[in-house]
Order: sequence, then C-alpha cells, then structure tokens
Amino acid sequence: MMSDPKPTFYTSWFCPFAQRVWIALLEKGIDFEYIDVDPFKKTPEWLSVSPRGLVPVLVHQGKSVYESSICIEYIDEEWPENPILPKAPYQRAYERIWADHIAKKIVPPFYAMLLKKETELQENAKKEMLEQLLVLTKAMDPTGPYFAGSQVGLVDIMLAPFAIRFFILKHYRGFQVPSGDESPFSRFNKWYIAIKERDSTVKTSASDEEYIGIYKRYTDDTGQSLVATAIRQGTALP
Amino acid sequence: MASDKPSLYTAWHSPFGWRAWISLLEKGVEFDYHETDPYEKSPEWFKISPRGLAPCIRHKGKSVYESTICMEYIDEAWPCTPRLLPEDPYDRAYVRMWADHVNKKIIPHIFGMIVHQTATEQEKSKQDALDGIAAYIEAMRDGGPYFLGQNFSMADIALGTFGSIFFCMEHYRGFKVPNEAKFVKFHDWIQTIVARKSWQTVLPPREQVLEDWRPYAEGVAQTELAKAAKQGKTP
Repeated sequence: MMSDPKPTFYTSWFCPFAQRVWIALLEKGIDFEYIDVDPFKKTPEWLSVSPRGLVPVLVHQGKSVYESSICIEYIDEEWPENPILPKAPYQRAYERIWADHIAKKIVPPFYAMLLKKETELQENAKKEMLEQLLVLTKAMDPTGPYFAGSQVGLVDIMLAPFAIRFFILKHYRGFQVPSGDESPFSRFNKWYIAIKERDSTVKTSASDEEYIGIYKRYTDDTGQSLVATAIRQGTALP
Repeated sequence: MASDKPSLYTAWHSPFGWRAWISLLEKGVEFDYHETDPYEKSPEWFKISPRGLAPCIRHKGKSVYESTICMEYIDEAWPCTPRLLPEDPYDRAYVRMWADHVNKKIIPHIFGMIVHQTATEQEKSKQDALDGIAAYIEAMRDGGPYFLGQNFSMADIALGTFGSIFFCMEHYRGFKVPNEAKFVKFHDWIQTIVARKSWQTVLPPREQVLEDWRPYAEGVAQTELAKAAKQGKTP
C-alpha cells in the first residue's frame, strides 16, 4: 500500500497504554509520524482528533482509532505482514481473553498500589497483583518465552509496558514479583527477561529516572489523569 | 473427541448472555443451550469457564468467554453472513470502538441507575446513560437502519440487547430515551433490532424481566454483579 499516507501516532511519552501501540508499530516495521501530546490539555483541536481526549490515538487516512487494543488490532489488519494476532479463531479469542484479563485484573491493582494512601489498601493491591499475575502466568505457553510461544503477540504487547514499570512499584511500594527457579513465577520471569530486551520495548521506554519522577504525582496524590480519578473514586478505568 | 457443535452456557435473563446467543442464532449455527447460574461456583463450572464467567462458549474442547470476545469468536469461527464485523480494517475498528463505548459509557450507567438507591445517584446515572446513548447515535452511519447503515453488526448487538429491556429501567427508575430530535434515530433503530427473529427468540416475557431486576432495584441483590455495579464496574 505504497500510495497510502503514513499513519500519525499521538502519544505521551510516559503513558503505558500508548506505549503498547508504539511497540506494535515498531514490531510491524510501519513508517509513522510520532506526535507527543499533553493529554491533560483538552483543547478543541485535540478533542477533534481524540474524542475521549486520551492517548493513544492513531490517525490514518483522516480517521481516528483509539483504545490501545483496538489500535493494535487495526494495525494488525491494515498491515498484515508480521502478524501480531494468530490466524485461528480460538487462538485469537485466547489472546483477547488474556488481554482482557490484563485490563481488568492487572492494570487496576498497578494503579491502586500507587494511588491508595492507606497501607492496608496498598498491601491488598500487591496481593491482588501477584494473584492475577499468577493466573496469567499459568495461561502462558510452557516453553515461551513469549505468552503464546516463540512469537510476540497481543498479550505480550498489552502487558510489556506495565511489566517494565514494576520497578516503580518496587521503588515506591516495595512490590516485587518473587524470583528464583522454584518460584511459581519463574515462567513469568522468563517472559519478562525476553520482553524487556526486545528492541521494540527498549526503543519505546524512557529512563528509570524519568519514570520514577513522573510517577511521583500518583504516590503523593496529585495525579490528575482520568485513571487516577477512577482509582480514587473506585470506579472502572476509562 | 472434542465436538464441532458448540455449547452455549448462559443465563436466560442476562443481556450479556443474549449477545452470544443472538450471535449464534443470527449465524444459523446449530448449538446446545445450557441454562447456567454463574453464581453457583461449582468446580464443574470452573472447568467449563475458567474465570467463572457467563456467557461461555465451549467449542472443540475449548472455552471462550466475555461477551464481546464471544461475538468476535462466533464471527470468525463461522464466517458466513451476516458478518458481525465488516471487512475493511477501519470499519472493523469503528465497530470495536463503539462496542467498547457501549460497554464503558452506557452499560455501567444502566446498571448504576438500577442499583443505586438514592435519587441523586440515580439521576446522575440516567443522565450519564443518555449522554452515552446520544454519542452512539451520533456515531451511527447514514443510510440506516443499523449502526453501520445498511449492515447489521456487533455494534447493534452490543447495545441492542440492553436496549430491548429499557422498559425495565423505565419501570423502576422512570428512565426514558426522549423523543426529541437528538434521540429519534434511537427509537427507529431499536424497533428494527427488536423485530429481528433472534431478538424475539431470546427476549423473556416482560414480567419475568421485571421480576429478575427487582432485587437490584430494591437494593437487596447480593450478587457480584450488584457489588460491581455499585462501583461503576460491570463485566
């Protein structure tokens, strides 16, 4: 599709949801324009590109796609080389089921751990995170190293940005995924090592210092994002 | 030997379950229906549906769950007409974005208006639901009668299941989608949707629907759904 204009990727450098789409674009080898936005500035121009005012947004041929998993499926279908999702219906459903698990069971405790003021609630979030990571780990292909086997797929991309931010949870909350060959998380740790050193992860990640700095506002309760507000109110994430 | 004939595990009263049920009916797929109470957390149930969620489709020895994932699976496993998602990648993204909108910006408020017990909270849920519905209508393509225009899709099923029982929200909370200009398209759309054979097959009698929602409206339901709905979180 050489005549089609290249897509524009609207992102914020610190946003893990946007990082997912960035990773997918790199994995596919797609030529794209990168625009960093401040999603807290809800200007009319920005809202015409992104109706929900959120990143990530992919604009292609004048049309906007938003929601990270929807962007990834769009990328996969519009540029079919180097597939991110498998072909068989059940394998596709399996990827979507575990991507949904990440969204509903892993992302919320990630933010709760940082945003909640009470130690008890932080501890509950840690416990929840480990429980749900274990469930995900058991769903992984036994050999790997990636979720479904030797190829990177949707679930890897959906989880990677959060996994590489786990050191922030350690820094602010003392959270750690247990290590060691005998640990029930050994398969998860094998996955993590493989995903962390992948080119697409390295190229889309900021420095440790930059992440530690930007996440401070969650821990001191000054976070203004819709995610922070939802966690504080105990409602569903946007 | 794993069967090629799918089994649908679902609860008769669940609009989430109707999404999967309607999808199978629309496709003309032969399937076994299993009436299920997903709150009965038996070991047998978890063998069928590992996260204990309904609807769940068992097909060729595998389980697919989460209603939106079920709809996509059904469309891909049985790619005959009607297609639940169109061919073009952008149109597919469009259907997914608006099905996601239904799940995040409409359904939680439908539940919210029922489970909240104070008038203030109920009124807020009603307004939020209407805002979500207004956005969905505005996103509808011209040509009608369906969300994408001439073609039926998963976006119609996503809202149309809940939309077909709005009488229940009216009964308990006085919720009505107005007849004014902004919402006229909704009424034309839902009438067309509900008239489809698949909807007529799954929709329970009106009295049964009202009775099923009563514990939620009266604040006595103890189900996980009730607890989640109070927090604005629905499956």
